[in-house]
Amino acid sequence: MYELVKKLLPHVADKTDELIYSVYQTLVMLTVSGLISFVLGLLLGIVLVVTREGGILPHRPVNAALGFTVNLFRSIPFVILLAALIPLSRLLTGTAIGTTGAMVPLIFGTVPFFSRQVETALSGVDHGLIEAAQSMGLSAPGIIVRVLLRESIPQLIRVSQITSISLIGLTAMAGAIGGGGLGDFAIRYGHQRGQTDVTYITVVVILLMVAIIQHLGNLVIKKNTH
Amino acid sequence: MIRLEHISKTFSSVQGPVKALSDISLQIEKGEIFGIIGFSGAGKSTLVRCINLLERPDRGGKVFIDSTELSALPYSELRAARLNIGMIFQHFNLMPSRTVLDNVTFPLNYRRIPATQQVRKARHLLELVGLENFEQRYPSELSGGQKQRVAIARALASDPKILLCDEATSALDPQTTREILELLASLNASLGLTLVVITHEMAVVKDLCHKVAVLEQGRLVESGETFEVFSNPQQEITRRFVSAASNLAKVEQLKKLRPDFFALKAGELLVRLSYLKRSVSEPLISLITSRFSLQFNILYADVELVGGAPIGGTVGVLGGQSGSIAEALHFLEQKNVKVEVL
Repeated sequence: MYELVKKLLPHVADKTDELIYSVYQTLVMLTVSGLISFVLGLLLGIVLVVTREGGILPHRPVNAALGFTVNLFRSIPFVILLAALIPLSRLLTGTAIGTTGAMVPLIFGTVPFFSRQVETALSGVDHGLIEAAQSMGLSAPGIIVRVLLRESIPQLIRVSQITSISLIGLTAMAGAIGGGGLGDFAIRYGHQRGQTDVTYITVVVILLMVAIIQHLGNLVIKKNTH
Repeated sequence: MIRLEHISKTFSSVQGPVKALSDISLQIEKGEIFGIIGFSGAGKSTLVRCINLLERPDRGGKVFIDSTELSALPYSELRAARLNIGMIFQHFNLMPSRTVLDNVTFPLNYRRIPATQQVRKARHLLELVGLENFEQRYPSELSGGQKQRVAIARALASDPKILLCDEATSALDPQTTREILELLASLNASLGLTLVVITHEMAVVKDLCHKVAVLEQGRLVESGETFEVFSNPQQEITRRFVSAASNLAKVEQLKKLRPDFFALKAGELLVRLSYLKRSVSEPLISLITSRFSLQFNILYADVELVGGAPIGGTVGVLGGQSGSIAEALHFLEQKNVKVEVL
């Protein structure tokens, strides 16, 4: 078995430990920044939906300011964000390198994207349902939780799939500035030392991650669609 | 009792302010079925939303439920007051992710009511609307009429005194419409529920409503007991609604399409006789033909029950001596029959 691996993937065989550690680093970046981004993006997405004109708590200044900020961060290319956020990273996490240092730019790169996606998902809820809930005397928080979020669960899962898959891409890029993980692994060996089999194996591993996210998401969607 | 005082509503649009309602005042008594009829865009839906304040009327407009001024309540008390006002909608607005049972208990959740009691209540209501075997279904598995029944059960879950029906049958076929109207009428009779019924369908008002208000371009143009309003409409718009429902009005259309059908001999008149008062019991047609020695060839007759009283009349060809015809028509008018020579 080892011989076969050695023959097909000569450069991977002697650094399986490093590969596994890279997968671990990528997973840490993905889950930690993913979870934080999920919570923040969900909150901002909700604010974007409820404060807009015709929403349940219309507030033009808040909506305009938040919309502008989200657009601003969405228009900064991630590589530039990585460099620009170094001081903030040091301030918040004490470091600008490694998986910890990558968290802040990953969150800044994901939250604006995800909050727009959440906004679209929540906008898909029929206004009639909100009106019905209002006529039953529900409060604004009640409507947000029991109607807006509840009725858009399949849509929210879909956008979470999209966002986490694009977040995997960002973790690979963050790796390039010293974040570690699979991106860093592929660049150091596959690219800089011309060990192409290392590049291929990272692609396969990432493909697996994408497939798992897609599959789990689809299961939950299926369970929540009636 | 619902009392609206000087309700106006202005929406802002790109073209400037649009007046959806102008100075509407009306009173709906407890236990009444009150229809609000108008063509689309007349402001009916806005008006009904002013009752539970889903729409805020312009300054100066007041909404009273019994002796409480709803429009003066702070938000939290308004939300509590809305529990006394159920509402059903044209497109049902059931929560698609919840089962029928969960939809009906929805207004009861988070109100410190034990779960078993919520379910018992919901089951009772589902039985009331004739859907006892549908608890675990999802709205997408139901027909339009069934969805509206679930919506009615849901609206009744908080024991409201008032039920607002916003075009509740407009998305349903005629047969289902009739069934839902029967259900609403029986709820009115058994629970003493006050119903406010918004519609553009004359059939709904005719079969269901005790009183009716006619809305045109945001103004209340006519209102009163359904029979009074529709037996003797004062406004052009009301006449249009009546003619849409009554076959008697179709004679003009028929005359245009098939003039040969109405070929009159010399001295004959095509007339339409319609009742203006309740309880038309005299045999008027046989009376005039014998008393004035005329011939009356009935082309067709039509009677509808409006507000429980017959409304309708006869279209026919009247023949005889011209003097006698004039006398006969005069006689009919004295008997509160509206005579139109076509």
